[in-house]
Amino acid sequence: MDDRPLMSADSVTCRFRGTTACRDVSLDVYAGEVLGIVGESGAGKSTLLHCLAGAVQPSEGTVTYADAKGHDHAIHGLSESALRQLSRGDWGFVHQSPYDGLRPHISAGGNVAEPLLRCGETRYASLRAAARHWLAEVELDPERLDDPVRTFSGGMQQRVQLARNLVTQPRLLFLDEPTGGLDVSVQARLLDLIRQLASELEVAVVLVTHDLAVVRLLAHRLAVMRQGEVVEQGVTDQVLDDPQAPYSQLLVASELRS
Amino acid sequence: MALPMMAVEGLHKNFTLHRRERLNLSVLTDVSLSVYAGECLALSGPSGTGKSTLLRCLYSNYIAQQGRILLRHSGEWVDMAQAKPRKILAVRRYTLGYISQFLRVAPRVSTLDLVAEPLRAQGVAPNVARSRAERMLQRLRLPEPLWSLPPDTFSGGEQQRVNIARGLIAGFPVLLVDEPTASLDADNRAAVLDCVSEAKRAGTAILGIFHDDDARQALCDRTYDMVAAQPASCAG
Ligand SMILES: Nc1ncnc2c1ncn2[C@@H]1O[C@H](COP(=O)(O)OP(=O)(O)OP(=O)(O)O)[C@@H](O)[C@H]1O
Ligand SMILES: [Mg+2]
Repeated sequence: MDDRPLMSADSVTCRFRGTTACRDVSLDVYAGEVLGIVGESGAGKSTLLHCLAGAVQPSEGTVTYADAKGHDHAIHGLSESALRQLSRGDWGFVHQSPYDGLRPHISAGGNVAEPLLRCGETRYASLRAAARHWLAEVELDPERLDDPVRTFSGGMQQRVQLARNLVTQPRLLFLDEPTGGLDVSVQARLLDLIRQLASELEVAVVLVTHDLAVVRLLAHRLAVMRQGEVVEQGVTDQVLDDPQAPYSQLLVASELRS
Repeated sequence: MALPMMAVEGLHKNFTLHRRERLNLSVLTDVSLSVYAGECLALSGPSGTGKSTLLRCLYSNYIAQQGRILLRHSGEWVDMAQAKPRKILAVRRYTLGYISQFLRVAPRVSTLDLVAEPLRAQGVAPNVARSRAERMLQRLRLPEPLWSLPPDTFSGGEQQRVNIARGLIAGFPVLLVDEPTASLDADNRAAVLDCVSEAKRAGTAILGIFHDDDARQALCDRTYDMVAAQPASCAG
Protein backbone atom coordinates (compact mmCIF):
# COMPACT_ATOMS: atom_id res chain seq x y z
CA MET A 1 0.00 0.00 0.00
CA ASP A 2 1.50 3.25 -1.19
CA ASP A 3 1.05 5.92 1.40
CA ARG A 4 1.44 8.94 -0.76
CA PRO A 5 -1.84 10.29 -2.03
CA LEU A 6 -2.41 10.46 -5.75
CA MET A 7 -4.40 13.64 -5.30
CA SER A 8 -4.79 16.02 -2.36
CA ALA A 9 -7.14 18.92 -1.90
CA ASP A 10 -5.87 21.41 0.63
CA SER A 11 -8.36 23.94 2.06
CA VAL A 12 -10.25 24.31 -1.19
CA THR A 13 -12.94 26.98 -1.36
CA CYS A 14 -15.02 27.72 -4.47
CA ARG A 15 -17.12 30.86 -4.61
CA PHE A 16 -19.44 31.83 -7.42
CA ARG A 17 -21.09 35.24 -7.54
CA GLY A 18 -21.54 35.50 -3.82
CA THR A 19 -22.43 31.88 -3.02
CA THR A 20 -19.86 29.52 -1.62
CA ALA A 21 -20.24 26.13 -3.30
CA CYS A 22 -17.52 24.51 -1.23
CA ARG A 23 -15.65 25.80 1.76
CA ASP A 24 -12.29 24.83 3.16
CA VAL A 25 -12.33 21.24 1.89
CA SER A 26 -9.29 19.05 2.46
CA LEU A 27 -9.12 15.43 1.36
CA ASP A 28 -6.77 12.81 -0.07
CA VAL A 29 -7.25 10.23 -2.79
CA TYR A 30 -5.14 7.06 -2.97
CA ALA A 31 -4.43 4.46 -5.65
CA GLY A 32 -6.68 1.40 -5.50
CA GLU A 33 -9.08 3.13 -3.15
CA VAL A 34 -12.59 4.48 -3.59
CA LEU A 35 -13.36 7.76 -1.80
CA GLY A 36 -17.08 8.42 -1.52
CA ILE A 37 -18.54 11.91 -1.17
CA VAL A 38 -22.15 12.10 0.02
CA GLY A 39 -24.55 14.86 0.94
CA GLU A 40 -27.90 16.23 -0.18
CA SER A 41 -28.30 17.96 -3.51
CA GLY A 42 -26.78 21.40 -3.47
CA ALA A 43 -24.18 20.40 -0.88
CA GLY A 44 -21.39 21.20 -3.31
CA LYS A 45 -20.40 17.66 -4.24
CA SER A 46 -20.27 18.16 -7.99
CA THR A 47 -18.51 21.51 -7.71
CA LEU A 48 -15.87 19.86 -5.57
CA LEU A 49 -15.50 17.04 -8.08
CA HIS A 50 -15.09 19.46 -10.98
CA CYS A 51 -12.61 21.40 -8.94
CA LEU A 52 -10.55 18.26 -8.24
CA ALA A 53 -10.65 17.48 -11.95
CA GLY A 54 -9.33 20.93 -12.82
CA ALA A 55 -12.49 22.14 -14.54
CA VAL A 56 -13.45 24.64 -11.85
CA GLN A 57 -10.95 27.12 -10.46
CA PRO A 58 -10.92 27.32 -6.65
CA SER A 59 -11.11 30.75 -5.04
CA GLU A 60 -8.72 29.56 -2.37
CA GLY A 61 -6.67 26.46 -1.66
CA THR A 62 -4.79 24.02 -3.86
CA VAL A 63 -5.25 20.65 -5.50
CA THR A 64 -2.08 18.62 -5.97
CA TYR A 65 -1.69 15.62 -8.24
CA ALA A 66 1.25 13.19 -8.16
CA ASP A 67 1.90 11.87 -11.67
CA ALA A 68 3.14 8.37 -12.54
CA LYS A 69 6.74 9.52 -12.19
CA GLY A 70 6.03 10.83 -8.71
CA HIS A 71 6.14 14.52 -9.68
CA ASP A 72 3.67 16.79 -7.92
CA HIS A 73 1.55 19.23 -9.92
CA ALA A 74 -0.56 22.02 -8.47
CA ILE A 75 -3.24 21.45 -11.05
CA HIS A 76 -4.80 24.87 -11.03
CA GLY A 77 -1.46 26.41 -11.86
CA LEU A 78 -0.94 24.27 -14.95
CA SER A 79 -1.15 25.56 -18.48
CA GLU A 80 -4.27 24.60 -20.36
CA SER A 81 -2.41 22.11 -22.52
CA ALA A 82 -0.67 20.44 -19.57
CA LEU A 83 -4.00 20.10 -17.79
CA ARG A 84 -5.63 18.73 -20.93
CA GLN A 85 -2.90 16.13 -21.17
CA LEU A 86 -3.56 14.97 -17.61
CA SER A 87 -7.30 14.90 -17.97
CA ARG A 88 -7.02 12.94 -21.22
CA GLY A 89 -4.35 10.47 -20.26
CA ASP A 90 -4.36 10.11 -16.49
CA TRP A 91 -7.93 10.84 -15.49
CA GLY A 92 -11.43 9.80 -16.45
CA PHE A 93 -14.69 11.56 -15.67
CA VAL A 94 -18.03 9.77 -15.74
CA HIS A 95 -20.92 12.24 -15.78
CA GLN A 96 -24.32 11.80 -14.21
CA SER A 97 -26.02 11.99 -17.58
CA PRO A 98 -24.60 9.85 -20.38
CA TYR A 99 -25.34 12.73 -22.76
CA ASP A 100 -22.78 14.89 -20.97
CA GLY A 101 -20.11 12.28 -21.42
CA LEU A 102 -20.93 10.69 -24.76
CA ARG A 103 -21.53 11.71 -28.34
CA PRO A 104 -24.95 10.20 -28.97
CA HIS A 105 -24.89 10.24 -32.77
CA ILE A 106 -21.65 8.32 -33.20
CA SER A 107 -21.21 4.60 -32.68
CA ALA A 108 -20.52 2.93 -29.32
CA GLY A 109 -17.14 1.84 -30.63
CA GLY A 110 -16.37 5.36 -31.80
CA ASN A 111 -17.26 6.74 -28.38
CA VAL A 112 -15.01 4.28 -26.63
CA ALA A 113 -12.07 4.65 -29.01
CA GLU A 114 -12.13 8.43 -29.29
CA PRO A 115 -10.04 9.17 -26.16
CA LEU A 116 -7.33 6.86 -27.50
CA LEU A 117 -7.38 8.65 -30.81
CA ARG A 118 -6.92 11.94 -28.99
CA CYS A 119 -4.01 10.43 -27.12
CA GLY A 120 -2.33 9.78 -30.46
CA GLU A 121 -3.32 6.23 -31.41
CA THR A 122 -4.20 6.35 -35.12
CA ARG A 123 -4.16 2.72 -36.27
CA TYR A 124 -7.72 1.78 -37.13
CA ALA A 125 -7.31 -1.89 -36.17
CA SER A 126 -5.93 -1.06 -32.70
CA LEU A 127 -8.70 1.43 -32.04
CA ARG A 128 -11.35 -1.13 -32.99
CA ALA A 129 -9.70 -3.84 -30.93
CA ALA A 130 -9.51 -1.56 -27.89
CA ALA A 131 -13.16 -0.58 -28.29
CA ARG A 132 -14.18 -4.22 -28.49
CA HIS A 133 -12.12 -5.12 -25.49
CA TRP A 134 -13.54 -2.37 -23.27
CA LEU A 135 -17.11 -2.92 -24.39
CA ALA A 136 -16.71 -6.54 -23.31
CA GLU A 137 -15.11 -5.45 -20.02
CA VAL A 138 -18.21 -3.44 -19.14
CA GLU A 139 -20.34 -6.42 -20.15
CA LEU A 140 -21.70 -5.02 -23.40
CA ASP A 141 -21.93 -7.07 -26.57
CA PRO A 142 -18.88 -6.16 -28.68
CA GLU A 143 -20.92 -6.98 -31.77
CA ARG A 144 -22.82 -3.75 -31.18
CA LEU A 145 -19.62 -1.81 -31.81
CA ASP A 146 -21.05 0.00 -34.82
CA ASP A 147 -24.48 0.82 -33.39
CA PRO A 148 -25.06 4.50 -32.61
CA VAL A 149 -24.93 5.00 -28.86
CA ARG A 150 -28.33 6.74 -28.81
CA THR A 151 -29.91 3.35 -29.64
CA PHE A 152 -28.67 1.94 -26.30
CA SER A 153 -30.66 1.94 -23.04
CA GLY A 154 -29.71 4.32 -20.21
CA GLY A 155 -27.86 1.68 -18.25
CA MET A 156 -26.00 0.55 -21.34
CA GLN A 157 -25.06 4.13 -22.16
CA GLN A 158 -23.60 4.51 -18.67
CA ARG A 159 -21.52 1.42 -19.33
CA VAL A 160 -20.35 2.86 -22.66
CA GLN A 161 -19.38 6.00 -20.79
CA LEU A 162 -17.45 3.94 -18.28
CA ALA A 163 -15.68 2.04 -21.09
CA ARG A 164 -14.81 5.34 -22.76
CA ASN A 165 -13.21 6.46 -19.53
CA LEU A 166 -11.29 3.26 -18.97
CA VAL A 167 -9.82 2.86 -22.44
CA THR A 168 -6.88 5.13 -21.68
CA GLN A 169 -6.27 3.17 -18.45
CA PRO A 170 -6.53 6.20 -16.18
CA ARG A 171 -4.93 6.34 -12.75
CA LEU A 172 -7.79 8.39 -11.35
CA LEU A 173 -11.48 8.18 -12.08
CA PHE A 174 -14.10 10.77 -11.12
CA LEU A 175 -17.67 9.50 -10.95
CA ASP A 176 -20.59 11.92 -10.57
CA GLU A 177 -23.75 10.01 -9.58
CA PRO A 178 -22.88 7.27 -12.07
CA THR A 179 -26.00 5.26 -11.30
CA GLY A 180 -28.50 8.10 -10.91
CA GLY A 181 -31.64 7.47 -12.91
CA LEU A 182 -30.98 3.76 -13.42
CA ASP A 183 -33.26 1.11 -12.00
CA VAL A 184 -32.04 -0.96 -9.11
CA SER A 185 -30.89 -4.13 -10.88
CA VAL A 186 -29.01 -2.18 -13.55
CA GLN A 187 -27.47 -0.10 -10.78
CA ALA A 188 -26.23 -3.19 -8.97
CA ARG A 189 -24.55 -4.49 -12.12
CA LEU A 190 -22.82 -1.21 -12.82
CA LEU A 191 -21.67 -0.81 -9.23
CA ASP A 192 -20.32 -4.29 -9.12
CA LEU A 193 -18.43 -3.58 -12.30
CA ILE A 194 -16.91 -0.37 -10.90
CA ARG A 195 -15.93 -2.19 -7.73
CA GLN A 196 -14.15 -4.92 -9.63
CA LEU A 197 -12.40 -2.56 -12.00
CA ALA A 198 -11.20 -0.33 -9.18
CA SER A 199 -9.58 -3.18 -7.33
CA GLU A 200 -8.19 -5.02 -10.35
CA LEU A 201 -6.87 -1.99 -12.20
CA GLU A 202 -5.64 -0.26 -9.01
CA VAL A 203 -7.23 3.03 -10.01
CA ALA A 204 -8.17 5.70 -7.51
CA VAL A 205 -11.85 6.56 -7.62
CA VAL A 206 -13.67 9.62 -6.34
CA LEU A 207 -17.37 8.83 -6.26
CA VAL A 208 -20.02 11.47 -5.70
CA THR A 209 -23.50 10.25 -4.87
CA HIS A 210 -26.45 10.97 -2.62
CA ASP A 211 -27.10 7.24 -2.24
CA LEU A 212 -25.69 5.78 0.98
CA ALA A 213 -26.25 2.19 -0.17
CA VAL A 214 -23.94 2.89 -3.10
CA VAL A 215 -21.10 4.16 -0.93
CA ARG A 216 -21.54 1.40 1.58
CA LEU A 217 -20.90 -1.01 -1.26
CA LEU A 218 -18.12 0.79 -3.06
CA ALA A 219 -16.28 3.30 -0.94
CA HIS A 220 -13.39 2.54 1.39
CA ARG A 221 -13.49 6.00 2.88
CA LEU A 222 -16.30 8.49 3.04
CA ALA A 223 -16.69 12.25 3.31
CA VAL A 224 -20.04 13.80 4.26
CA MET A 225 -20.75 17.25 2.83
CA ARG A 226 -23.26 19.80 3.96
CA GLN A 227 -23.66 23.32 2.61
CA GLY A 228 -20.27 23.19 0.96
CA GLU A 229 -18.36 21.87 3.94
CA VAL A 230 -17.06 18.43 4.80
CA VAL A 231 -18.67 17.81 8.18
CA GLU A 232 -17.19 14.37 8.73
CA GLN A 233 -14.86 11.91 7.04
CA GLY A 234 -13.53 8.47 7.89
CA VAL A 235 -13.76 4.75 7.18
CA THR A 236 -17.08 4.26 5.38
CA ASP A 237 -18.74 1.80 7.75
CA GLN A 238 -17.72 3.91 10.75
CA VAL A 239 -19.26 7.08 9.32
CA LEU A 240 -22.46 5.24 8.44
CA ASP A 241 -22.81 3.10 11.59
CA ASP A 242 -21.61 5.61 14.19
CA PRO A 243 -21.99 9.05 12.62
CA GLN A 244 -20.68 11.82 14.88
CA ALA A 245 -21.82 15.05 13.26
CA PRO A 246 -25.47 16.03 13.74
CA TYR A 247 -25.94 16.25 9.97
CA SER A 248 -24.44 12.79 9.35
CA GLN A 249 -26.79 11.33 11.94
CA LEU A 250 -29.72 12.93 10.17
CA LEU A 251 -28.56 11.64 6.79
CA VAL A 252 -28.14 8.07 8.02
CA ALA A 253 -31.47 8.15 9.86
CA SER A 254 -33.36 9.32 6.79
CA GLU A 255 -31.70 6.60 4.72
CA LEU A 256 -32.93 3.91 7.13
CA ARG A 257 -36.48 5.14 6.82
CA SER A 258 -36.58 5.04 3.04
CA MET B 1 4.89 -17.47 27.07
CA ALA B 2 2.21 -16.29 24.66
CA LEU B 3 2.32 -12.82 23.16
CA PRO B 4 -0.32 -10.22 23.92
CA MET B 5 -2.01 -9.42 20.61
CA MET B 6 -4.55 -6.91 21.79
CA ALA B 7 -4.71 -4.65 24.82
CA VAL B 8 -7.66 -2.41 25.61
CA GLU B 9 -7.03 0.30 28.19
CA GLY B 10 -9.65 2.49 29.84
CA LEU B 11 -12.10 2.42 26.96
CA HIS B 12 -15.19 4.62 27.13
CA LYS B 13 -18.00 4.67 24.61
CA ASN B 14 -21.05 6.83 24.60
CA PHE B 15 -23.51 7.77 21.92
CA THR B 16 -24.64 11.35 21.54
CA LEU B 17 -27.97 11.31 19.77
CA HIS B 18 -28.25 14.73 18.18
CA ARG B 19 -31.73 14.04 16.92
CA ARG B 20 -32.92 13.24 20.46
CA GLU B 21 -32.00 16.53 22.08
CA ARG B 22 -28.39 15.43 22.22
CA LEU B 23 -29.26 12.57 24.54
CA ASN B 24 -26.11 11.00 25.86
CA LEU B 25 -26.01 7.22 26.25
CA SER B 26 -23.06 5.83 28.11
CA VAL B 27 -22.47 2.23 27.04
CA LEU B 28 -18.86 1.39 27.96
CA THR B 29 -17.13 2.81 31.01
CA ASP B 30 -13.50 2.08 31.58
CA VAL B 31 -13.10 -1.25 29.84
CA SER B 32 -9.61 -2.75 30.09
CA LEU B 33 -8.66 -6.20 28.89
CA SER B 34 -6.03 -8.02 26.91
CA VAL B 35 -6.02 -11.06 24.67
CA TYR B 36 -3.04 -13.28 24.01
CA ALA B 37 -2.08 -15.31 20.95
CA GLY B 38 -3.80 -18.69 20.98
CA GLU B 39 -6.29 -17.61 23.62
CA CYS B 40 -10.04 -17.07 23.57
CA LEU B 41 -11.62 -14.49 25.84
CA ALA B 42 -15.42 -14.45 26.15
CA LEU B 43 -17.47 -11.34 26.87
CA SER B 44 -20.36 -12.10 29.15
CA GLY B 45 -23.25 -10.03 30.44
CA PRO B 46 -26.99 -9.53 29.91
CA SER B 47 -28.49 -8.12 26.77
CA GLY B 48 -27.73 -4.45 26.26
CA THR B 49 -24.57 -4.31 28.37
CA GLY B 50 -22.47 -3.33 25.37
CA LYS B 51 -20.84 -6.60 24.27
CA SER B 52 -21.44 -6.01 20.57
CA THR B 53 -20.64 -2.33 20.99
CA LEU B 54 -17.26 -3.25 22.43
CA LEU B 55 -16.44 -5.52 19.49
CA ARG B 56 -17.48 -2.79 17.06
CA CYS B 57 -15.26 -0.26 18.83
CA LEU B 58 -12.32 -2.64 18.60
CA TYR B 59 -12.92 -3.04 14.86
CA SER B 60 -13.17 0.77 14.59
CA ASN B 61 -16.69 0.40 13.30
CA TYR B 62 -17.69 2.58 16.28
CA ILE B 63 -15.66 5.48 17.61
CA ALA B 64 -14.55 5.29 21.24
CA GLN B 65 -14.36 8.62 23.07
CA GLN B 66 -11.58 7.68 25.42
CA GLY B 67 -8.98 4.99 25.94
CA ARG B 68 -6.60 2.95 23.85
CA ILE B 69 -7.08 -0.09 21.63
CA LEU B 70 -3.66 -1.51 21.01
CA LEU B 71 -3.24 -4.13 18.35
CA ARG B 72 -0.10 -5.88 17.26
CA HIS B 73 -0.07 -5.21 13.51
CA SER B 74 2.87 -6.45 11.44
CA GLY B 75 5.28 -6.26 14.32
CA GLU B 76 4.25 -2.89 15.76
CA TRP B 77 1.55 -1.65 18.11
CA VAL B 78 -1.24 0.34 16.52
CA ASP B 79 -3.76 2.25 18.60
CA MET B 80 -6.98 1.74 16.69
CA ALA B 81 -8.67 4.50 18.69
CA GLN B 82 -6.24 7.04 17.22
CA ALA B 83 -5.35 5.46 13.87
CA LYS B 84 -6.07 7.24 10.60
CA PRO B 85 -8.63 5.65 8.27
CA ARG B 86 -5.93 4.26 5.96
CA LYS B 87 -4.23 2.55 8.88
CA ILE B 88 -7.51 1.12 10.11
CA LEU B 89 -8.14 -0.34 6.67
CA ALA B 90 -4.65 -1.86 6.58
CA VAL B 91 -5.11 -3.42 10.02
CA ARG B 92 -8.40 -4.90 8.87
CA ARG B 93 -6.81 -6.24 5.72
CA TYR B 94 -3.92 -8.04 7.41
CA THR B 95 -4.44 -8.39 11.14
CA LEU B 96 -7.95 -8.06 12.44
CA GLY B 97 -10.97 -10.14 11.42
CA TYR B 98 -14.53 -9.54 12.55
CA ILE B 99 -17.34 -12.03 12.26
CA SER B 100 -20.45 -9.96 12.78
CA GLN B 101 -23.89 -11.34 13.44
CA PHE B 102 -25.17 -10.53 10.00
CA LEU B 103 -23.74 -10.87 6.55
CA ARG B 104 -23.53 -7.56 4.71
CA VAL B 105 -22.07 -7.96 1.24
CA ALA B 106 -22.16 -6.77 -2.33
CA PRO B 107 -24.99 -8.10 -4.48
CA ARG B 108 -24.29 -10.22 -7.53
CA VAL B 109 -21.00 -11.63 -6.22
CA SER B 110 -20.83 -15.41 -5.88
CA THR B 111 -20.39 -16.95 -2.45
CA LEU B 112 -17.08 -18.43 -3.50
CA ASP B 113 -15.73 -15.04 -4.57
CA LEU B 114 -17.04 -13.41 -1.40
CA VAL B 115 -15.20 -15.93 0.72
CA ALA B 116 -12.05 -15.60 -1.38
CA GLU B 117 -12.18 -11.80 -1.17
CA PRO B 118 -10.17 -11.30 2.06
CA LEU B 119 -7.35 -13.36 0.54
CA ARG B 120 -7.56 -11.49 -2.78
CA ALA B 121 -7.28 -8.24 -0.82
CA GLN B 122 -3.98 -9.52 0.58
CA GLY B 123 -2.74 -10.14 -2.95
CA VAL B 124 -3.21 -13.93 -3.03
CA ALA B 125 -3.58 -15.25 -6.61
CA PRO B 126 -7.20 -15.79 -7.72
CA ASN B 127 -6.95 -19.56 -8.23
CA VAL B 128 -5.22 -20.12 -4.89
CA ALA B 129 -7.75 -17.94 -3.11
CA ARG B 130 -10.64 -19.76 -4.75
CA SER B 131 -9.41 -23.21 -3.87
CA ARG B 132 -8.87 -22.19 -0.26
CA ALA B 133 -12.38 -20.74 -0.27
CA GLU B 134 -13.72 -24.06 -1.56
CA ARG B 135 -12.03 -25.96 1.24
CA MET B 136 -13.37 -23.53 3.83
CA LEU B 137 -16.94 -23.81 2.55
CA GLN B 138 -16.64 -27.57 2.50
CA ARG B 139 -15.52 -27.67 6.12
CA LEU B 140 -18.39 -25.41 7.09
CA ARG B 141 -20.75 -27.80 5.31
CA LEU B 142 -22.17 -25.30 2.86
CA PRO B 143 -23.73 -27.35 0.02
CA GLU B 144 -21.62 -27.12 -3.13
CA PRO B 145 -24.49 -26.11 -5.45
CA LEU B 146 -24.72 -22.85 -3.48
CA TRP B 147 -21.12 -21.79 -4.02
CA SER B 148 -21.69 -20.08 -7.34
CA LEU B 149 -24.71 -18.09 -6.07
CA PRO B 150 -24.76 -14.78 -4.25
CA PRO B 151 -25.86 -15.45 -0.65
CA ASP B 152 -28.78 -13.00 -0.49
CA THR B 153 -31.31 -15.83 -0.96
CA PHE B 154 -29.62 -18.17 1.55
CA SER B 155 -31.12 -19.22 4.88
CA GLY B 156 -29.98 -17.47 8.04
CA GLY B 157 -27.70 -20.34 9.02
CA GLU B 158 -26.17 -20.55 5.54
CA GLN B 159 -25.47 -16.83 5.49
CA GLN B 160 -23.93 -17.08 8.92
CA ARG B 161 -21.54 -19.79 7.72
CA VAL B 162 -20.57 -17.69 4.68
CA ASN B 163 -19.84 -14.91 7.13
CA ILE B 164 -17.70 -17.20 9.27
CA ALA B 165 -15.85 -18.51 6.23
CA ARG B 166 -14.98 -14.93 5.26
CA GLY B 167 -13.76 -14.23 8.77
CA LEU B 168 -11.60 -17.32 9.03
CA ILE B 169 -10.15 -17.71 5.56
CA ALA B 170 -7.33 -15.20 5.81
CA GLY B 171 -6.01 -16.57 9.11
CA PHE B 172 -6.07 -13.17 10.81
CA PRO B 173 -3.92 -13.09 13.96
CA VAL B 174 -6.76 -11.43 15.91
CA LEU B 175 -10.40 -12.32 15.54
CA LEU B 176 -13.58 -10.72 16.92
CA VAL B 177 -16.69 -12.91 16.83
CA ASP B 178 -20.27 -11.98 17.70
CA GLU B 179 -22.41 -15.04 18.44
CA PRO B 180 -21.05 -17.18 15.62
CA THR B 181 -23.27 -20.18 16.31
CA ALA B 182 -26.51 -18.36 17.07
CA SER B 183 -28.66 -19.60 14.19
CA LEU B 184 -27.13 -23.05 13.67
CA ASP B 185 -28.24 -26.61 14.32
CA ALA B 186 -26.03 -29.03 16.27
CA ASP B 187 -24.03 -30.43 13.33
CA ASN B 188 -23.31 -27.04 11.83
CA ARG B 189 -22.50 -25.63 15.23
CA ALA B 190 -19.93 -28.39 15.69
CA ALA B 191 -18.40 -27.66 12.29
CA VAL B 192 -18.06 -23.96 13.12
CA LEU B 193 -16.58 -24.66 16.55
CA ASP B 194 -14.11 -27.04 14.96
CA CYS B 195 -12.89 -24.38 12.52
CA VAL B 196 -12.65 -21.69 15.19
CA SER B 197 -10.78 -24.06 17.55
CA GLU B 198 -8.35 -24.82 14.79
CA ALA B 199 -7.67 -21.10 14.30
CA LYS B 200 -7.09 -20.80 18.02
CA ARG B 201 -4.62 -23.69 18.05
CA ALA B 202 -2.83 -22.00 15.18
CA GLY B 203 -2.29 -19.00 17.45
CA THR B 204 -5.19 -16.68 16.70
CA ALA B 205 -6.20 -14.42 19.58
CA ILE B 206 -9.99 -14.53 19.84
CA LEU B 207 -12.36 -12.17 21.58
CA GLY B 208 -15.96 -13.22 21.30
CA ILE B 209 -19.56 -13.30 22.39
CA PHE B 210 -20.92 -16.84 22.66
CA HIS B 211 -24.49 -17.37 23.67
CA ASP B 212 -24.45 -21.16 24.01
CA ASP B 213 -22.59 -23.14 26.65
CA ASP B 214 -21.25 -25.65 24.07
CA ALA B 215 -19.37 -22.91 22.33
CA ARG B 216 -18.09 -21.38 25.52
CA GLN B 217 -16.90 -24.70 26.84
CA ALA B 218 -15.25 -25.71 23.60
CA LEU B 219 -13.40 -22.45 23.01
CA CYS B 220 -13.07 -20.09 25.90
CA ASP B 221 -10.19 -19.81 28.33
CA ARG B 222 -11.32 -16.75 30.27
CA THR B 223 -14.36 -14.56 30.66
CA TYR B 224 -14.69 -10.79 30.85
CA ASP B 225 -17.84 -9.90 32.76
CA MET B 226 -19.26 -6.67 31.33
CA VAL B 227 -21.20 -5.84 34.49
CA ALA B 228 -18.70 -6.78 37.19
CA ALA B 229 -15.70 -5.26 35.42
CA GLN B 230 -17.14 -1.80 34.87
CA PRO B 231 -18.15 0.86 37.40
CA ALA B 232 -21.79 0.42 38.35
CA SER B 233 -22.96 3.53 36.51
CA CYS B 234 -22.91 1.84 33.14
CA ALA B 235 -24.46 -1.54 33.74
CA GLY B 236 -27.89 -1.72 32.12
N1 LIG C 1 -25.19 2.83 16.77
C1 LIG C 1 -25.78 3.00 17.97
N2 LIG C 1 -26.39 4.15 18.26
C2 LIG C 1 -26.99 4.32 19.45
N3 LIG C 1 -27.02 3.41 20.44
C3 LIG C 1 -26.44 2.23 20.20
C4 LIG C 1 -25.80 1.95 18.95
N4 LIG C 1 -25.30 0.70 19.01
C5 LIG C 1 -25.60 0.21 20.23
N5 LIG C 1 -26.28 1.13 20.96
C6 LIG C 1 -26.77 0.95 22.33
O1 LIG C 1 -25.75 0.42 23.14
C7 LIG C 1 -26.29 -0.47 24.13
C8 LIG C 1 -25.53 -1.80 24.09
O2 LIG C 1 -25.89 -2.52 22.93
P1 LIG C 1 -25.13 -3.82 22.45
O3 LIG C 1 -25.71 -4.22 21.15
O4 LIG C 1 -23.68 -3.55 22.48
O5 LIG C 1 -25.49 -4.86 23.58
P2 LIG C 1 -25.15 -6.41 23.71
O6 LIG C 1 -24.49 -6.58 25.03
O7 LIG C 1 -24.41 -6.89 22.53
O8 LIG C 1 -26.60 -7.05 23.77
P3 LIG C 1 -27.17 -8.46 23.19
O9 LIG C 1 -26.73 -9.50 24.15
O10 LIG C 1 -28.66 -8.23 23.23
O11 LIG C 1 -26.64 -8.64 21.81
C9 LIG C 1 -27.76 -0.58 23.82
O12 LIG C 1 -28.46 0.26 24.70
C10 LIG C 1 -27.89 -0.09 22.40
O13 LIG C 1 -29.14 0.46 22.15
MG1 LIG D 1 -24.92 -8.24 20.89
